[in-house]
Amino acid sequence: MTYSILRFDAPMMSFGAPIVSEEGLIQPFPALSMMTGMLANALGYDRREPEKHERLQRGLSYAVREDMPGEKIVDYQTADLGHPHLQAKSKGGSVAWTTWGTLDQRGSGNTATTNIRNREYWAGAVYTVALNVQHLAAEQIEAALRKPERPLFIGRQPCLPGVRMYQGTVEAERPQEALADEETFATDEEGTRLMPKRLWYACDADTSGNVMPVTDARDWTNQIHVGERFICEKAMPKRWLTAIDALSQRST
Amino acid sequence: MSNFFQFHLLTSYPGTLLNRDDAGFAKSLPFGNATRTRVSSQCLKYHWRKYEGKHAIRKAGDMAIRSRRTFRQKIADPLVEKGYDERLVAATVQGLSDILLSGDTSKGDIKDNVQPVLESDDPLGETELSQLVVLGQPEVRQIRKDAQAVLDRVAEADYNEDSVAQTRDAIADAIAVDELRSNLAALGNAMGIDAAMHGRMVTSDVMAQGDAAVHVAHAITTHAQQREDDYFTAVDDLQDETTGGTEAGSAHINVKQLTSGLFYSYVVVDLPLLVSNLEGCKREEWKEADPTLTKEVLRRFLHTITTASPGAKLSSTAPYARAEFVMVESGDEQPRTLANAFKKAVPAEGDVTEASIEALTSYAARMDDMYGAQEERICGTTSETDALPAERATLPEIADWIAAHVDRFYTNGTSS
Repeated sequence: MTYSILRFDAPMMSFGAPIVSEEGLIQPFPALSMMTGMLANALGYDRREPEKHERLQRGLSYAVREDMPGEKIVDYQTADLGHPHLQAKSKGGSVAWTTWGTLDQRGSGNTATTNIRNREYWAGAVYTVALNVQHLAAEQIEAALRKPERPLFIGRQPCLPGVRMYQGTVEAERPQEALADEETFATDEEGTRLMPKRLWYACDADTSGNVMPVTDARDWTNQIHVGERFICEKAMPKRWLTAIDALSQRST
Repeated sequence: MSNFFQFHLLTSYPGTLLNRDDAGFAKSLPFGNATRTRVSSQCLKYHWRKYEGKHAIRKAGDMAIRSRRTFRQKIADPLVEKGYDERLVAATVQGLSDILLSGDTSKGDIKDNVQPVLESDDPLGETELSQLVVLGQPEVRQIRKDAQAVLDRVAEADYNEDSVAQTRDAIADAIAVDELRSNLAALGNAMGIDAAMHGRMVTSDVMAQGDAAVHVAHAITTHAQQREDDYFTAVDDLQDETTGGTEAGSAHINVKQLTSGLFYSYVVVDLPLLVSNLEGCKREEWKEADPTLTKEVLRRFLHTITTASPGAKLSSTAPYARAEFVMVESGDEQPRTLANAFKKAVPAEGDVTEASIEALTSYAARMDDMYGAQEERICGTTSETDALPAERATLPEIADWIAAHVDRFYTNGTSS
């Protein structure tokens, strides 16, 4: 199978987890819904086209390698909800128009005040992703990432990538094996090879190792997260690190 | 076909506190080999919105020509093509646009607004407004849907079509539905150039959301964070023995953090989406829309981001500075920040501005060596250096360059 290799390298990244009231939490690896949304963005899908998103999500398989761990920062934000464009003039407690014709109401006691939001980000992280989409040829993924229909961002709009995301393709049986290929290894600005730390990939519930259940598929019609799948988190296999080390020795 | 403008800026703010966290400290970011001072995208956008200078973005509205015809071309004409009566369509659209523009109107107001259209020789012409309206694609779709529903209600009403007064009343009855009116009023509040640029995400209704055409990264210093705790006192001038005061010192003691920073800022503009949001056309039909307003908004945006300060503590730190370096890129490749040029922090010695320009220039050159030169560039700077990543130009020349590139996208379909 052909896997497209993507590099996530940005001053700030956000791998969203469920938002709990004003807390925007993140998880250590990109969710299925985020990967789907990012590719959909590159392909130019409209957010009002849930079927296209569903299809993309169903066909998507990927593994993630952490090349440089990020440092978690919390961005403290305030939003003035009393701003005229957030208030309908006709009803004091209302927020926004909807396509179903009635106002989107905000609960009482939460109007016209300053709202506090804490948003987490990974600072200075580098990740590599190997992905395959069943019904999309590698060339289509390459074209979409090289010349995306819309600017790409990693999780949230201010998280703009610092490098070209598309890094080529690798042939492998499974995505996690694609990430063992030396072609996919990352270097820093000085040309020094980065020593990867962790690896995540989809697995069965009973796989031995560090397996966790996640609910990271999105129901794009109803805009909620659904389902359950299992993710295996692995420390980087020693033989990979030895291989990277040997490569570095050779190149210096 | 996608087309992007990328803006890279270097701006120096000494002795300021531009953006604070919940504890009152300057926002920061661990990046590369050092922690940096940071200004959030939310903070930058807030100040760009509020900027009232000569080139304020919101004043671009005065320049609009085509967008005054949005109601006519995007809402009224398609309904006439569907077979609805021209006069009724014009009157209905007029009634809805008045609610949208004035916030809310009484039934009596609706009648007054609708009547002249019904009496006009050119009813559709009446739907062209004297003011600019910026409506995104979701808004246009919604208003058209509302107008059609009103027309269907009028069709079922019992009135004499030959009587202007009865027609007027039938339309006013069909429009004066509370839910429709309040929804339209809310829609009217959420539109505008601002929403076209930065998006409308305040609703949970995905169909009503508008995507931002402008992506803004957090600005970070090119060098390690430089901060100082500023100890200050406030003296009570009226405090002496006659007013009962007995303390010897000041009335208030406090500490505030001050930072000095040369910030790298990065912005991407998605041109097709900006045109689509400003003109209310479908994204894929952006080349059929008039680019006049878009060009004017981009020109003002360039002036605003190089001039407007994201500052707090205005009276005590005067955080006013202009960018000393700006580079604009145009192309269709994946946009990417050049922040990694500063992953190795610029040393806080000698001329930090020159060293930062040098770092950015050599990084851009290394990227070109690796990927090929994929963007066309232009830059302006106060620096005297000869080593620049692009042709040197004044700010007005850069604005003209951007406008010329918009035109080239329209004629060639590509930037190069």
